Amino acid sequence: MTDFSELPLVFFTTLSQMAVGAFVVLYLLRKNDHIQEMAADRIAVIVVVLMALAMGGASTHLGDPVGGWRALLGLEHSWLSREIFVMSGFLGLAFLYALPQLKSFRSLAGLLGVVFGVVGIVVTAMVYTLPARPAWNSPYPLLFFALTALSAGPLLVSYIVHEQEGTICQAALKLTSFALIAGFIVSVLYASQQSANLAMPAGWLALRCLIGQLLPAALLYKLTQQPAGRNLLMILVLVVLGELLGRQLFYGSVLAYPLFPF
Amino acid sequence: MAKRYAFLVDTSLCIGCNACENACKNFYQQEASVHWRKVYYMQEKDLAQPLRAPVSLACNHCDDPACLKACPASAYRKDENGLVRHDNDRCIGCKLCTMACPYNVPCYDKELGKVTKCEMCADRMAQGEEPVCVASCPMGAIRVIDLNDPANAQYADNLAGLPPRDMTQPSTRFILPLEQKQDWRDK
Repeated sequence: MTDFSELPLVFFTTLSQMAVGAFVVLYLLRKNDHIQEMAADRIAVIVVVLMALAMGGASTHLGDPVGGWRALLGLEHSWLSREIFVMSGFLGLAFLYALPQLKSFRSLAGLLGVVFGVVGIVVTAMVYTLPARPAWNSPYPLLFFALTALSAGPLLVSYIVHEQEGTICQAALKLTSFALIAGFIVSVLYASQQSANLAMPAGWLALRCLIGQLLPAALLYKLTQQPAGRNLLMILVLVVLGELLGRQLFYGSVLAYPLFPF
Repeated sequence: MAKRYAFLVDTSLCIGCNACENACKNFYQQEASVHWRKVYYMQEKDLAQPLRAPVSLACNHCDDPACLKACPASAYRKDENGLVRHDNDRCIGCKLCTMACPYNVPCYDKELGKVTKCEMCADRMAQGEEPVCVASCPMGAIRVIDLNDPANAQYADNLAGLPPRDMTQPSTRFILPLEQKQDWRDK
């Protein structure tokens, strides 16, 4: 937990998954005319900014950031190469979607962006599905990454829609509530099932579940009873903090395959 | 016919003096945290009798290298002699290979900003010299063998306590610890 060497990856994975979740929800809501164009424009720009921050931040993780382009040389065999390719494609498509001059191509850019984003999350999970890290050599990386997208993405969209249009997007908030509860169950299952392969500090896990999953889920439930937009910002901040903390635990607690174990 | 080089580690001879590890570090002037060769100890539960059994391990030059498959920059390749070679100029220092190798072999060099690893002293071998670890072992516990020679099929291809072979198909071979008469315990 105290090893922060993967912090750029903590931010990259969390922000990129949040951006993908937001983009997918944006595409679906816009396709069915559930949100107005002004809110859609704002969300699209925020998705692009989030992805740019995520990818720029990830490059600081490299020992040779200038040579970062060489990360695309291993497309044939490396999941990391594929991740960078697909996520760059997602960023490009989100950028095209956000361009006001290309509004007539929005439908196509949106659909392709959704495909690239979803595939990007699967490919990112495959990067960490490594036999040498037994806790990760399981469905858990994919579950964590997908649940980050499903919790933080729709919540971000709901917040912006509320800011722009003054309405509460119930469908998106229901999705977030479901993802938060599912995320709590998955976090607890991961810590218990993979306990031999993890050095997971129970206190940090409890904090992560409390501030990033249980408290926001309770606040969301309260919000459905008494809609109050300003609470959305607090819930969004809590969920993002919780996801960042959860991702730090993901990287910081995993143990290598034991050599000559006791 | 091409060779298929592999380390042969004789655990019945190894005394855990760390000469191999230090000679390697000294020869390649490595940064403090970098260890291309490391000496481990087998656990008593994995042995037929209580023994202190050191094992010297470096890169296993696997037939299905996890480092090579993980590397996004294609900095790794399998050479014509079966050695897993690493090209520093291509490495971008993403460290994914350090996570992917189940033997903790690739080391991140903070000063270089790149990963480095044992290449079985391929340059020395090309000049007919032994790898530094082999030359420095006072017990002759490390050798280089050719796995294409059928005579070398006799050696063990794994040790208790190491990852299952099918994970990466390592090429390192072993002579197992000798079972010895234990006078004190027999009394």
